[in-house]
Amino acid sequence: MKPGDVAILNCTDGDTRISFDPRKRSEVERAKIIVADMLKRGFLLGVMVDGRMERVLAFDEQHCEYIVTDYQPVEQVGPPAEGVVPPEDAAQVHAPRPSRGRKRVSAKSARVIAVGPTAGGGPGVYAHGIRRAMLERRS
Amino acid sequence: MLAKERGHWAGLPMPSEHARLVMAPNHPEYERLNGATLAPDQSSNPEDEKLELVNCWYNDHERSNILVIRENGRVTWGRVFEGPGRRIKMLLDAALIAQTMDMAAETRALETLSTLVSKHLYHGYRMTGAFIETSKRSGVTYIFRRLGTTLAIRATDVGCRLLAALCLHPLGYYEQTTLGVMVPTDDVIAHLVMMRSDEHMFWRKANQHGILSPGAML
Repeated sequence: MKPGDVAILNCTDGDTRISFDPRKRSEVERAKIIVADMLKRGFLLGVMVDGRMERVLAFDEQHCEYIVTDYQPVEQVGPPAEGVVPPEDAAQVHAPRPSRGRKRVSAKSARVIAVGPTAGGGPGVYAHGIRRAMLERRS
Repeated sequence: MLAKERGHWAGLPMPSEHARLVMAPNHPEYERLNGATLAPDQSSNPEDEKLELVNCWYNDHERSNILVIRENGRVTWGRVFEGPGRRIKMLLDAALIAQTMDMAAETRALETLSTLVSKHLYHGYRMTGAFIETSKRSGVTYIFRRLGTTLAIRATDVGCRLLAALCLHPLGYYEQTTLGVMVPTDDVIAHLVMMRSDEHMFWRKANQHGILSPGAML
């Protein structure tokens, strides 16, 4: 995938690519419409930001920018080793988190994967009801 | 082409004669495609219409799904045997349906996956159909599997504990099979993207199978 590409996972073609390549003006206009429409229809768009993948919350069509949550990276922290005295500010670990800000990512340089709305899981689910013939024993 | 005209950016799935389609409720063609099949005789038994599923769980000991059913206002129960034969049938149904899928689509999906994971993980996926990634946010390790559920594992100093087998298909899937409406690697990419970008949503939307249930495909 090139910078500016959006790969839409597709049940017909594998994935469809649209692009925010600034050299192709008509393609950019088309991509703007598609991205805005996909977000409206409940697609999940994952964009690479600083080596991490973030979910796109909104799209600014005017400036061609994705809006994502501005996370401070949270690293996995294990329990303190035996004998280690926890720091004085350990109580703050459970303090309410400050509200997260928003960050803008230029669509021209971002790589995005779009995933359609989900249907949930498959095997073992009686999505279309149950049939009497399936039941082995009833009382 | 038709899908693009109507704004279906992820395409329209193909009904099959081997299993009925289960569509995402907010898919634009949900009313038309949910439950669709190409099987010749799908006339439902009117007696079956009276059965309403109240609850269902897998019993490891009996290797069965226990179903609590409401029929004419009366609650009763039944069981459906789900032994090894069930797993084989799921795999065979998936293999039959997969024949209608486009091989070029799977190739494109593999190309996309190769841009998302490191080279050695991609090679591992091509060889074995699975790769591993640990979430930086939660520390949970995931085994992403082709035509199978994604296994969530908590690794500790003592050992590993399987948390759940997560099953999820974007757009839709074929009932009682392991196959989604997209090619298998696209389903794997969808799991990976959801895990990386919104892990809570991934767990919320996925069907969580027990280790021993046939749905876990273990």
